[in-house]
Amino acid sequence: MVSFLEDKNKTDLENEAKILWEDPSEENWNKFREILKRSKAKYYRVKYEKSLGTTEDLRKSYAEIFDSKYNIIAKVPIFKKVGSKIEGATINLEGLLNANKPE
Amino acid sequence: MIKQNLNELESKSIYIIREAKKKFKNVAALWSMGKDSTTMLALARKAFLGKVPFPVIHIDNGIDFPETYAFREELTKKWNLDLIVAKSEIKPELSGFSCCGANKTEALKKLMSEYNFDALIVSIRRDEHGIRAKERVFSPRDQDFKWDYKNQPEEIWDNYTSKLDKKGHIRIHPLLDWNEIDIWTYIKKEKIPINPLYLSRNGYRYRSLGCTHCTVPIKSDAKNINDIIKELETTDTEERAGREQDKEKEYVMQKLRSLGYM
Repeated sequence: MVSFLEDKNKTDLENEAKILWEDPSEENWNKFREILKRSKAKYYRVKYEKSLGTTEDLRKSYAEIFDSKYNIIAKVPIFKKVGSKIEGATINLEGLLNANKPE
Repeated sequence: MIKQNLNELESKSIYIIREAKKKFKNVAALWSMGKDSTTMLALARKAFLGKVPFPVIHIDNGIDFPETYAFREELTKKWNLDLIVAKSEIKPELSGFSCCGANKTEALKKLMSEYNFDALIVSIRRDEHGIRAKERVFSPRDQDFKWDYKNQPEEIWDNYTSKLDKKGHIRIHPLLDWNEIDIWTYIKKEKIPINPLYLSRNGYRYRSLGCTHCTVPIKSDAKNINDIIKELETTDTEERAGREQDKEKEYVMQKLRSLGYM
């Protein structure tokens, strides 16, 4: 039973991450936060494409989410859409710990 | 790094914060959730019987560390802070120093205009960077946030200017004389809460904190404040070595600061 729930939470996280890539709206980020709380996610690492030279680089930047053994369990964008603009959204990773060590 | 007399530093900073509150009608303080600005708030609480009697501004570009946001929420509740969050845009074409400087300055300008603040408490220290070493304790800015570093007011015997440019403001710097080890020693002495990113995990920690884009961790085994203090007693690496914005040439930084960039 426990294993089933763990797998379900992991799948929910992966699915919600995919939804965020398509539509990083406030609503989807709120759903993601709820799923993140239930999941085994423990660490994050934010990765920027090159040095944020263009808006496209910004859109490609993401956060890797890891479990307690540093296995990647999801990759999510780090921005949300607010109308036609983009805003940073790393606040949605609250509760996770920085993976600290550079790659 | 040389430790200074903490009691003297504390007394002077409390005096400066109280002077700011007395001389200006509408004071606010910048808070980045870093060790310096959190120490400044702790000093303000000492100055005013456990309260911070002015608004506290976080200029948020949305890509701070999640731990920073969590620390912000926790301390705002614990210390009953009047928190104002000013959202700054991320303009990728200005990445690096300009991104932090230009975008955060624009956000701050809008906020200052909206709230009509005439004084802003900022927690910079002289030992952080050569440009900051040129600052005065009470440092005037004009309405465009420009800093006339060649024509600064005298500060003799702790007499600080309160002359304001018509639509300008005064930057108040209560921690100018402190150095990094003083800050950590004070944090230890007063048990001031800190952002957990300052402490080592997996052999790395953040010695100076900015946003996720412009800050890198350093190799360190300092897992607590005592370890940090020991580390600082022997290090010869600059505090802000892990901050992208400080890699700009000094004269460029000075120019940008004088034009109103933070």
